[in-house]
Amino acid sequence: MRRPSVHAVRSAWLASIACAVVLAGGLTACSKSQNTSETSSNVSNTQSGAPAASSAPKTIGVSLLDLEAQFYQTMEQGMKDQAATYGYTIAFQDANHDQAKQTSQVEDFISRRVDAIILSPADSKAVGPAIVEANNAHIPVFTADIASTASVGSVVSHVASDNVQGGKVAADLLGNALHGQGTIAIIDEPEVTSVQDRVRGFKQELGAKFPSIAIVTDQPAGGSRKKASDVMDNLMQQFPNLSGVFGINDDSALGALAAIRSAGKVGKIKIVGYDATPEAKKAIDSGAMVGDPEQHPDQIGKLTIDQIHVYFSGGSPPPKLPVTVGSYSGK
Amino acid sequence: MTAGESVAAQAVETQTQKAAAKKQRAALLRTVGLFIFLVIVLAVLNRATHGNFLAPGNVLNVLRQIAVNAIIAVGQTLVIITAGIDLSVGSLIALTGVLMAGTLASHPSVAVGLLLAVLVGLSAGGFAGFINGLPVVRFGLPPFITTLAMMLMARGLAFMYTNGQPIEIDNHAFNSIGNGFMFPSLGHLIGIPGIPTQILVMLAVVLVGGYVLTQTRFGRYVYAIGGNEEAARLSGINVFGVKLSVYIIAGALAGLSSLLLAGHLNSGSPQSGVGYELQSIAAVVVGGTSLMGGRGSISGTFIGALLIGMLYNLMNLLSIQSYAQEVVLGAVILIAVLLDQLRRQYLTT
Repeated sequence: MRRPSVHAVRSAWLASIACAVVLAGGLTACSKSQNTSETSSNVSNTQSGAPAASSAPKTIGVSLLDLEAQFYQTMEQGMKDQAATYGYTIAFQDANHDQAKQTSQVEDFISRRVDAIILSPADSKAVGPAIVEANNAHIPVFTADIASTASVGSVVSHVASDNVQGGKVAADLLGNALHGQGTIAIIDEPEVTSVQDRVRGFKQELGAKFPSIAIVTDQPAGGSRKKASDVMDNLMQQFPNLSGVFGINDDSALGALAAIRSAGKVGKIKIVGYDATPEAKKAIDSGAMVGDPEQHPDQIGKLTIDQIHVYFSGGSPPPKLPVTVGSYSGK
Repeated sequence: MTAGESVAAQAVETQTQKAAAKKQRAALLRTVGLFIFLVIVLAVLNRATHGNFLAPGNVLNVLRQIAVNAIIAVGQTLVIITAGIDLSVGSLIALTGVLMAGTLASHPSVAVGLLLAVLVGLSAGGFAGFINGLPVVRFGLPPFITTLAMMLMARGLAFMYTNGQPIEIDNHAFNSIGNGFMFPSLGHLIGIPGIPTQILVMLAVVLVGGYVLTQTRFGRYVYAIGGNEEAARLSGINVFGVKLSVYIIAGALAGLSSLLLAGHLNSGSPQSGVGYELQSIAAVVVGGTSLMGGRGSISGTFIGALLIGMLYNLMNLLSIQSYAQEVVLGAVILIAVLLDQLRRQYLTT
């Protein structure tokens, strides 16, 4: 038992030394190869007589919050299509809600010397140092959908849905369905900045266009379907005359719908959600929900690539580009 | 190696010595072969990534990216050699991270904050390790259960402590441990700002861990307990103390790696470290340590962590999709362990 273990230890140490030597050898070898690659690019410069920017195809590295989500998959497609029209090479990575992972991905992009980086930060604050690293490597950083709120690092341009306007769309949908009369509730998630914007827009529009509709309560449910359903149960007890509800995302709206369905009040209480997910669209088509503001992630993707194109062409994109939110109210 | 062998007949002794020498030559040959193979593979890969893979900046990138995993994997190695397992290290990274961030937030003085935060991080990790180990050594509970419980509790506590929000860290001294560089003159030789502090911390942990495991009495006890706990107990080894220490070390190292991670991200987040326990186990297993206990090494674990980190980095450099990356990584773990097993069977027959 002992002998092989000692043996294993020794050979493992030998292997580790071998590895270290290889890495050290690599360090010197690669500095050489780096030189050659630089000279080769110099050669191409002199040959074409144009700056390297226009000769080599540009590469964009993208790391998105969650590539398993439909929303980001649609955004990915929008970016891919638009990158193809400009002839850019584009590489996607899934941050999978892990900022450490995303930071590693950014570092790998820097190693590859990509020409631009697009991020949907996994953590709006903790993304800062990764952006700083890219800044130090003189690689422009763009954010899509989620902004960086870190105190460090500079982003060229942020492209995202105009959530204030999206909230207004929700207010129009609900106000029209109620013919400007009634009492409504908001199922909220006030911790999230984009949701704060939605609710602000919703209240502004409602106050301006539908003054006879009263918001009786604003309840947090964490954007979760189960919790939204529980909250809705209580609201129907508390406010028997409730005529409408705005769920800040479709899970909130569909949770409310589940509670309303159990109470046999489908159609009596009008529901508006947010996002127009396939499930919500089905509910809207069947008449159980009124409608949804609909984000256009493909547009967000496309416009982000457009901003990069502007930047590459020597222009200066706006620091913030709001993307219009549409409206879905059934087939 | 054991006393019993010297009693054996001298003829047998010389024969076994000859056999051992032959085996050593074979091992040397294998190492040289492996070395040449590695050089070729790395050269090909370097070529495929247009020289980016072995660029000094990228090599340091990989080493920095594996620092957190390598450090927790050192603790994990000790635990696994005693035939245990620690599933809590990922959650402990989150818990100690938010505790350190909270400590820093409430102590504006840079020096005091740094000192207290490091103290809080390491001791909270160590204490959690103590709670992991105590039911194992005192009541014989399976470590899988106690550390699974700690995994849930630590994650929950991290969320409770922060209300689910990450805490930003603006203590520059603290952040520089995860972000900073040392030996700038050495770095300038290869055109970088210096050697990242994270890498130096990792190397220190790996070297100290390797030394303790192979050169100290404590290390030999760890192997002995994993090989046969009852025999170790009967030969007078303080099994209670050694096993408990191993869990405390694993917890404290989770705190240390959390310090690097939180510093690197300038933030302590209750969501950090998800799945890291499995990453560390993967590094340990790829490094040739047996989950049955009694066998393994820190150097192997370091190579395991390095291999996994290099793979991720390579796949990113080659623009391999995230989904495919997980498939490749799973396959590599399986193949690495399979090869190790085959080699071992070949050696013993």
